Amino acid sequence: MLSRVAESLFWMSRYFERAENTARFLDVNFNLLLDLNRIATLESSNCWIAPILVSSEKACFEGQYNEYSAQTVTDYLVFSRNNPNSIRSCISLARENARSVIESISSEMWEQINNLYHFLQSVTPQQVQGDPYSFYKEIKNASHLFQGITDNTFSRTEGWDFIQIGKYLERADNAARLIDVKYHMLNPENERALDPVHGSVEIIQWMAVLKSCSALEAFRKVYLSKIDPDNILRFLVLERTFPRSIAFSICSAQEALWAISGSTRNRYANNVDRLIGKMESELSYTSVEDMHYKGLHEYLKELENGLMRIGEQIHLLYFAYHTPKIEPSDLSDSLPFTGLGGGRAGWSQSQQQQ
Amino acid sequence: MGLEAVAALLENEDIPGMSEFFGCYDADVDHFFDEVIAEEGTPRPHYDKLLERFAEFSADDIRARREIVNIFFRNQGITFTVYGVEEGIERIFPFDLIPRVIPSTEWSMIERGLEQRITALNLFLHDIYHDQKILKDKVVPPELVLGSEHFRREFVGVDPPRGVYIHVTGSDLIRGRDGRYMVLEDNLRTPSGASYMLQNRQAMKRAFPVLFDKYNVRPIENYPQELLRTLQEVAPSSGHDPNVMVLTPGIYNSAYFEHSFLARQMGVELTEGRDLVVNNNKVYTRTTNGLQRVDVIYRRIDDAFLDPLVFRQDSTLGVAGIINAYRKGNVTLANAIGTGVADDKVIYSFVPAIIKYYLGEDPLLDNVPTWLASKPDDLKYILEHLGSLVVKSANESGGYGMLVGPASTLREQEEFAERIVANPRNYIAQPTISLSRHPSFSHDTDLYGCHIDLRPYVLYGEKMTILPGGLTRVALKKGSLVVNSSQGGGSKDTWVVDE
Amino acid sequence: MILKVEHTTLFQYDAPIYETATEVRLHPASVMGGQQCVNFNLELQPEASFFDYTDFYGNKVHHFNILQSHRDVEIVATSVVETAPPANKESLCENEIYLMDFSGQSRYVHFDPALTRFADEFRECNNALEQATAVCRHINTIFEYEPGVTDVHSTSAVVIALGRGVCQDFAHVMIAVCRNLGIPARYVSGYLYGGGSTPDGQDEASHAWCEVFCGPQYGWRGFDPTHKTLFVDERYIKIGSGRDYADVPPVRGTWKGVASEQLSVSVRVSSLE
Repeated sequence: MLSRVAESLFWMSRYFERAENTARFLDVNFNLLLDLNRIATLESSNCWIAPILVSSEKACFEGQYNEYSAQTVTDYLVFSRNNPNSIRSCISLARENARSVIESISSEMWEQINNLYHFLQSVTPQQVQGDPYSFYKEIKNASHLFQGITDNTFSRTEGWDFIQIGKYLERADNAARLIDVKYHMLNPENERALDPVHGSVEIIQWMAVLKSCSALEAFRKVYLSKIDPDNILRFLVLERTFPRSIAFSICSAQEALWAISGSTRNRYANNVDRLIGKMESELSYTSVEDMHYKGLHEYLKELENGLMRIGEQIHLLYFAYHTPKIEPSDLSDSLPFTGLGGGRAGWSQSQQQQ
Repeated sequence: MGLEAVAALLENEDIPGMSEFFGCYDADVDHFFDEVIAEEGTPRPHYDKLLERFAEFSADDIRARREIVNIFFRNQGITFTVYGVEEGIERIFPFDLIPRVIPSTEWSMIERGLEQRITALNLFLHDIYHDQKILKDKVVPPELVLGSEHFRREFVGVDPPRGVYIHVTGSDLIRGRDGRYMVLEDNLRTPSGASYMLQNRQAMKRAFPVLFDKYNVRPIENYPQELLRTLQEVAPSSGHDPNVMVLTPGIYNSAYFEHSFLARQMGVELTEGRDLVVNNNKVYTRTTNGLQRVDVIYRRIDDAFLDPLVFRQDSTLGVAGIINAYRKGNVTLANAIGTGVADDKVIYSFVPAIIKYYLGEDPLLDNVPTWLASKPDDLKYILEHLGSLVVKSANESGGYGMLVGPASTLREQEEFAERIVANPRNYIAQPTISLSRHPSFSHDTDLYGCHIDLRPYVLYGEKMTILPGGLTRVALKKGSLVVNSSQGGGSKDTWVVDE
Repeated sequence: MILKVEHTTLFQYDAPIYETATEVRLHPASVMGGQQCVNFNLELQPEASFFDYTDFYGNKVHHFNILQSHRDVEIVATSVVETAPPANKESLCENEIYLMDFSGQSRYVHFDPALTRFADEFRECNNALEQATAVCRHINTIFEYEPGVTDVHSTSAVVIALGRGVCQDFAHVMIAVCRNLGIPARYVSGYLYGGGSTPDGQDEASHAWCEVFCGPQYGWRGFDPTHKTLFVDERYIKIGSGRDYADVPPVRGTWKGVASEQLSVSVRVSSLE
């Protein structure tokens, strides 16, 4: 299929997933705050740093706002036009991408994304402050609806595979960041965990991590009520049966990539398949002990880097302006990613006067 | 006037529906040629079955059919962006429920006329891009051709496959007071509307199945197949199945719907300039499977924007190097480059001479009488009669840049006169023709006569194929003479029927 | 004279770009009874295949494209030309239609009121050759050669208003005047031996002048309003001609990417005798 169409479908899907993940996370954070305030008065600003850290926007945020609070963080992560990863920006970009390939998606898909876009244009920060629960629910529902409509109306062609890849890469990436930040903040080696008051705070925080991934009920089915950090890690990173785990996401992305290239297990057709195959195999044989041995932060960082490289290679292989045969293998010589936002300008050469 | 005659047609005189529609229809045959009602006040024979059927309809029946049509168009997403309107929004193309019927005897005459005209125009294009004999023989003034912004010197000497320049054309036809068909203008660059023609037919089949059955209507559903075949026939000879595609300027173009519709119907890829790249003088699309060679491009982008290397350098819609690839014969563009010189409104006035020069025949379809502002005598006449003429800019399309004498104020005439004198080569004038009228619905309740024209579609590949009928455009605003879709006109389905 | 030309055009970018597509008009013309191009060589860096065609005005055009990312484009054209002194009498019946293109306005040649007034001075004379000579002398005298005041897109109107420019501008003005007087004139792109500002013939640009059709008796005559010698002789190497600069730019192209471009050109003309 046309590279441009594949790329737009990929990013439409990816931006949508990003918006949903952000909504989910913010929602949980609000609830967390309410729970915590009942037990002990905690510096609430602590709670609000986490969402910013997860989206790696610390410097940017601090440049624009002078405190971490519900208002500032919500403003930045939901509404800010200066933040390309805010929910509003993500849905705008998802819609732009959808619009540019409107002939390849079903009219219901377009209608759904368009509705969500217009909803976000019309909602105000006051409304969100007044009833965050309804707002985030709306986003989550819209996302579910979009995915359901896509599932029901999009033919299982190459376009479908790119939609899946975008979604799952984003999901895996988001989960890794989330776990990284939260685990760091909730480090069980911290002595405060021994204190019963703080102990129950930790449990609530861990439950919040699970809820951010909509994993609480599923987790309980496997691990009953034992909210143990290591179990949570195991579940969110390695559990193949849970659709929001990293392992599941990588597996699904791999499946979609193989569907496009024709690679099979043990036989990769290109660099992308090799990289994701490697990541998937490693995940199947990794244990929580392995993760701790390496250092959880390092492990997750490596995962995130791996995902970024896979994204780059997908771009080079399927979307970039050239086929890999003529693209230099040295990435520093190749072209920077120029998404829908810009940069693909066409220019005239200067001419010399005679 | 038609009341008694129409009523006499019916056996059953007290069907309430009849008086609701044709009973009240004022054909005004003293002033206009009406497609349905003849001069004597009786209906033309080929409309008998239609009137019969409509007699059975009540207002509710019409409303129900309108609903069917609207739902169909809405689901198809058939829209048209209207420029000049504040919102620039997409609107459903207005459609009138009453079809225009053309008997096949009339149609064969039109067909022969079109075939003659398009053949001659193609020969004209071939000549001016090669030996320019017609210019040397002074049949057409050379400065008109050389001075035309659409004359592409880059294309001189190039031989397009089969010598065809105009693969898809649409010559607009009107009928005058006496009912004679005349050519109003030729469209040799990127004529649009074929998709509406096809959708109108689908809508009518759904809304009026009984009526459709009564008539033996010549089919047009095969247009996409015929178009694809035509495009394949002009591929550069390469042995393999030619890779055909439709090149669109993108979603913000007013005719985007048609580009994507035709691409889907033909089963070919719809591409934009940025999907294509020229490498080593050949054209490719960028796909997830690497670069794929392109053989034929049905391009819906104007020449000027097609190639930033050769034409407008600021164009982001085109593909650098595509003209050179075309020149070399590595790709075929439909229509060819530089066809605009022949659909210029000034050259239009020379078409009868062109037909005579290449075919040795008199034109079967007449031109509308035309005065050229570039000729001093004509200029004098034009300036003296501005109030009764329609003056048009030679290069603009879509009904802009035009003065309709009888509908203009003295002030507007003075301003326009200045423009004409400043740039005489750019203006032509024609008498106001009372275009023929066809009963059309206002709010689906009353019928009134609306001016119409006809745009047939002609395909030219290995041979010429002319689709029966075409798009009948209607000036839906009461009293308006402007049928162009970009200024609020609408359309009807056109039925060529065998008796 | 046997002259050698080395014309180097270098585009440099501060970030990788892609899809360079370029046309070059660097191949010197071979004219019947006149200049002959003996050798022509085109080198491209990065390497690319090039193709050629002959355009509407008879100029030989080469073109190429570079698909993958690159940071420089270097075009080196080397030619060896045998020039001839201008023939004294050339009986030439030029195609009327062909002459039309050289008789009216074009992209950079405009008939504005200032130009018409400028041309009025020469309207009296009847002989095209004399008129052209007078125009050429006049422009050479009153216009000042000064780089940097005009740019590559300046029209004849701009140049007349400024009174200064480079050879491209001088040529445009002379063409405008001649055409306004009813004498067909065309723009010529090429090189001049010994016309450089440095002693060894190296310069930063190619040269431009015009050819005027002085009737069937004299045919096309070359005039150079930039130099006081006025008449084109065997030191001049013609590449090609057109209505104005827009028809014969030595190098013209497009590219894609996010970068800024720097252009440098060097021309060296030497004698091989």
